[in-house]
Amino acid sequence: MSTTPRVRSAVDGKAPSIRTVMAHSSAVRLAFDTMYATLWSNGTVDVDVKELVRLRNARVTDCGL
Amino acid sequence: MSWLVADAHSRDDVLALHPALAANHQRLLDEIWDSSLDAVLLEYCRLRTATILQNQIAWDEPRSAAAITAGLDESLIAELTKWPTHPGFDAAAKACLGLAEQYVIDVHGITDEQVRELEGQIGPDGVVTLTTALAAWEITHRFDNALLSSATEGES
Repeated sequence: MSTTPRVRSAVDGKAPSIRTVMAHSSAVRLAFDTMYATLWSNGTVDVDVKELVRLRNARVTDCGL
Repeated sequence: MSWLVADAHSRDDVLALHPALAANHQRLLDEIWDSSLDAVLLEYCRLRTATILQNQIAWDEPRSAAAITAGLDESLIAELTKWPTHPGFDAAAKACLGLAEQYVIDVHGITDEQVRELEGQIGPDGVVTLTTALAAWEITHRFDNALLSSATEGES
């Protein structure tokens, strides 16, 4: 699995990371982050259950992050 | 139709159960279509991933308005499965579709060389937009498959 960004940083002087790479498309990134935050902060599903599902999904998809 | 909401007939009807999430999901899609990446390329990839993930609903709904405005050719959409060899798909389209297929079939099979080639075609902003779009569409396709059924399921 790859955990090293394959695209250069969009922020001068900053190393490539998921944040600095996503900054190449900042409006899209902001919209994604907003939706992601809504998933965590809204709704009736307990946050502990959400975290269990997130971790299980990461394991199934072999996500190294 | 959905087994989750008795009178639901669309994705929007089901998403209405969670209005805040629905609004932010739509905002993400709007930002993707409004991005600098060619909307025709985005629509190719949305439909190709829908086929691979067997989401007929994505094929049945209207094509992207942004893609139509950008010159989407419906005759090429009909040839989408032949993109690797069809002359109607240029190098940028092939690079995008190649990544889209790899993304949904085996994401760990994406290579450094593949991303370099893609970046050469659509730039780093395009790569970031496309990969985020692929994530958004994978969510949408799987959401449709899980919670909706199509009267014409399996025809694409």
